[in-house]
Formats: sequence, C-alpha cells, structure tokens
Amino acid sequence: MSGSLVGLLYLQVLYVAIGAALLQLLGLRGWRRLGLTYMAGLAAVGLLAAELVLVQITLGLVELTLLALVMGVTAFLRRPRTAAREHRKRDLLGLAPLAPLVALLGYALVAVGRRPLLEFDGWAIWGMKARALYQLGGTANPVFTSDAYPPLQHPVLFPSLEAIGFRAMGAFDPALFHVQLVLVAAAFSFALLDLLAPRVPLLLAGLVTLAIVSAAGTVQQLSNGLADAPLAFFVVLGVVALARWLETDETAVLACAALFLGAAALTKSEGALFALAAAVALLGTLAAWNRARLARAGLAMLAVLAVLVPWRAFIAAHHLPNPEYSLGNAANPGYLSDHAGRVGPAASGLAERIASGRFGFLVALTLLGLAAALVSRRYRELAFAGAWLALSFLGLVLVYWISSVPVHLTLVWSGDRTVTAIVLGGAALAPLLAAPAWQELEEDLTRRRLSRRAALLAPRQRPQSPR
Amino acid sequence: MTEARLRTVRLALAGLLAVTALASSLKSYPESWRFLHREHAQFSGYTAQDRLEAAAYANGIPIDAFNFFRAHLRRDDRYFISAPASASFTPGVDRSATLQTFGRYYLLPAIAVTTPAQATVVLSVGTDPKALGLPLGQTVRDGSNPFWVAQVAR
Repeated sequence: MSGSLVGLLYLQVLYVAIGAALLQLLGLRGWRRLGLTYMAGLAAVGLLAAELVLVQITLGLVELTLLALVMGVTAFLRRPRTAAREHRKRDLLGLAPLAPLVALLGYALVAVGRRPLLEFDGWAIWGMKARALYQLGGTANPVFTSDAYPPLQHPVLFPSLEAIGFRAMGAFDPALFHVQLVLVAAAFSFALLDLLAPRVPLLLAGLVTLAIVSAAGTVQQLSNGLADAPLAFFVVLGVVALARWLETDETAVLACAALFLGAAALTKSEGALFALAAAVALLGTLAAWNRARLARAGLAMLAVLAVLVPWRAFIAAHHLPNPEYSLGNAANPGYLSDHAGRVGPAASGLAERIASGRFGFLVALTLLGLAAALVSRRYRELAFAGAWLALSFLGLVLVYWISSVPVHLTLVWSGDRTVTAIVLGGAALAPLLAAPAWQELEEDLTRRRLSRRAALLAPRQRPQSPR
Repeated sequence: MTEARLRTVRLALAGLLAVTALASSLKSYPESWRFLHREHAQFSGYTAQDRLEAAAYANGIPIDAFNFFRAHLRRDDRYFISAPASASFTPGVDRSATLQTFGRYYLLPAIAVTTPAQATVVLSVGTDPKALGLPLGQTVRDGSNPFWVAQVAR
C-alpha cells in the first residue's frame, strides 16, 4: 500500500485508546476488551467525523491524538476506586475456534492489501466521497451538494473514516478500503465475543462468530470496499448489546448498543432502518414485559435518532434529492396500491438472497436460536429478536416497494448486500437465545461424565473382604 | 408437552446449534479461503497506480484519456465531459454516464459540472469540443487519439 503504514497503524492505536477511554467512562472496563474497545473507538470517531465534516471540520492524527489524551485523562480521573476485577476462566477448548478465525483474517489482510476498488459503487460512490473529503476537506463543495455528483443521499460516516485513514497515510490509495474493512472484521469478531462471552459459553460464542465471519457472503464483502460490511457489523453489535441488556440490565451495555446503532444509522440509509426496527422491537418488548425500563431504553433510542439530525438538516438545507425513492410514498396508500405488484418480487427476491448458500448455515442458526428460546420459555428475548428480524425484513421490502428503479434491477444491484445485516444479526443473536439450553446441556454432559467416572471407580473403592 | 420432553428438545436444540455453527464454518471456510487465494493471486502484483486505474479497465473506460485529462487539469478547474451517448458497458448506465461517473472519481480535486456553460475546461472523448459551440481558448489534443482538453474562453 502506498503512503505511511506507520501513520495507519498509529490511527488504529488511537481508535483503541479512544474506545477504551469511552468504555471506561460508560462503566465498562474497556482496556481488557480489545475488540470492543476498537469498535467503540471506531464508531465514536466515525460519528464525530461524520457530524463535524458537515461544518467543515476534518479530523486527522493530531486531532485524534488530542481527543485520545483528553478522553484518557478524563477516564483515568473518573475511574472507579474499587473496581471489581473481572476474572475470566481459562477455557482452552473455548478458544479453539479463534485459531482458524485469526488465520482467515490474517490471510484476508494479505490477500486484499493490494486490491483496487473494482465494484461500481465502490469507486463511484464511496471511493469518490472519501477522496473528496480527503482532498477537498468538508462537505461544502459540489461533491456533496450538486446534482453533478449523484447519489447525494448517502450519509458520510464510512467515507469520513476512510478519509481519516488517507490523512494518516498521507496518500489516497484505494487498497485502504479493503485493509480497513479486514481490520474492522477482526475487531468485530472479538467485540462480538466480548458481548456474548459473559452470557454464553466461550466455545459456543466462538463457533458462531467463526461461522459468521468465515461465511463467503461476509468475506466477499470485505474485499468489495463497500459500506455494507461495516454497516452489518455495527448493526449486529448494536442488536446483540440490546439483547444482552434485556437480560442483564447493564446501563453501559445499553449505551454501547446506542453507540453502535447510531454509527449504523450514519453509515447507510438501511442502517437507520435497522436501528429503527431495533428501537421498535426493544420498546415493544419492554412495554409488554418490563415497563420500568422503558424510559431508559427510550432515551437510548432517542440518542440513536439524534445522531441523524445534523445529516437530515444538511439534506434539507441543500435540497438533496434521493432519486431512488421518496420516503413519503411509504405512507401514501395510493402510491403503495399502484405499485403493489413490486411486493411479491421484492419479498421473494430478498428471501432468496437470505437463504442463499453464501452465508453457510447462518439462517438455520437463527431458526435454531429462536426455537431454543421458545422451548426455554425466554419469551422476552424471543419477542425482541423475532420482532427485530421481522421488522428489518419488512422494512427492506417496503424500501424496494417504494423504489422507482425496476425491482429486478435494484435487487441485482443491492439485494445481496442489503440482507447482510439481517442474516448476520440473526445468527449472532442465536447463542444468547439458546444460552440456558446450552448451559443445561453442559450440566447434563458434566453429570453424565461424573457418574460414568464414579461407576468406573466404584469397584476399586469397594472395601476388601477380610480373609 | 411434558417437562421431560421439553428438556430433551432443549438439549437437542442446544447441541444442534453448536453442530450447525461448526458445519457452517466447515462449509464456508474452504470456499472463503479459496476466494481470498484468488484475490491474492490476481492483485498481489498491482502497484498504487494500477489500483487507481483498475476501475477504468473493469468498465471499458479509456484510461489514457483520463490520464491525459488529469495532466491538464488544475485543482480549481470546473470541467465538463463531452462524450457521445452510446452503447453501454455497465448494465443500466450508458457510455457517456460511465465516463462522467469515472471522471467524478478519478479527476478529483477538479470538479465536474453538468452543463458546458458552467465549465472552465471541456474534456472531450470521441468528439471535437468545437461541436459544443462554446468560445474556446487553448485546445490540446492527445496526439492522434480522440481526446481533447479545451479551455473555455471567458
């Protein structure tokens, strides 16, 4: 890769430092969770950069170093005096799935380290916007405001992060897209383990994480340089954090969920849809089972929507059109009725892509998780996961319904990618849904092993009869 | 269903979940590894310039023209790409639109405009810029290639 690799590496350290300070401030002991700290730092810097770029403030290594210092000192001064140490059991078998995972991601880093941006949307949308932010500064230029530079409706978190990477390297090199995506995938893997592991045995969490990250549909998206993979990673971490919060009521985990869903909402338009689906699923679940927690959940979900306000204001101020669809049509019965013929092809086209072999058996994992939650009587978790999956899918169908692009064409262009967050999210929720059943299975196996051992030992321990 | 049966189903589902996750990885892992191997084999020899130009090759865009344009554009130029609309080389996008799209990416930080009247420079592919009827200043052609860079006279 051209440019300074040292600068790029230093940037990754800054993401970790900022994430660690942020998690500490939120009440999680961040520095021990490398994946979660990196993803929290990336999401926080991405959100900040995407908002600041709208007022022509750009972030580089100097600004991020200062931010890391200020946050680090604040976190240090506000650290709890008597923080309980978190003891994790050494579980070598549980760590086993991580070896192939690390090998695959290491090879991915080598394999895509010199890859160009070849996919049309990669260079025509994300590459162009990132390059413009790097070379022109903020968004007060025709690239973000003139109809000479379509499409204008995409939020700018992903290109802002790439532009920070180019500033760190001191050069524009399309390979950064792929390298950064692989690094994000690695951090995502460990962040998912961090979120799952306290509630789920490490072996199960590791197996599911390996299944998610090694799926061909995931790996191929790491090499295409598009925003769909980071979007899916932010969404997955957000909904898994919400599911964990439902179970544990840890405020810091709810704050993490809001951070990741906020980042998802500013990564792509579908991110706002998935975040909204999560908010409705969460609030609906709490309304039915635990109204006392509604206020806190509502506040967190409001924070997610609030991050969208500056971007929506920018769109309104510059009258930026969305040539593909008008959201108003989603509430227009006449329009929906006139275009009802699109619903069937859109729903079946998306369902086909979800069930396609590109994602291995992740859909089966999701269904098994839901079934395990049902027979374990975990109705609250089941309601949240089921509602999020259903609302996300129906929301996507609605977007394809109101789109002005021929449905078969828009499915070909984007169908494979837009379903990624749903497929990965469902699979990532499965271990949490099945955790009690798995625990029961483990106890059962342990009991059987002990009784077999006892049976083997029994004859030797029999007292000798006196001669 | 009795509690004992429910328990059996729970245990079966938990076991099946782990087995399915393992089976999914066993199915996907080799496929993903082979994909990465192909990517590595295809791109390991690419230079930084190759990576910038690859999008043009992949879409049948004449990169020589765009390198010629880049060499003649200044940072603050507003350019208009003049190219006859013709057969598509990207599904759903005609040839002229593909050239405009690639220009928006490749010719930054110079800025594209939508009409010749807004331009300080006309970049022409396959058609003489004089055909636009604009008052033109210095016009440069890339040898015998049909690419022109023409300053708009103000």
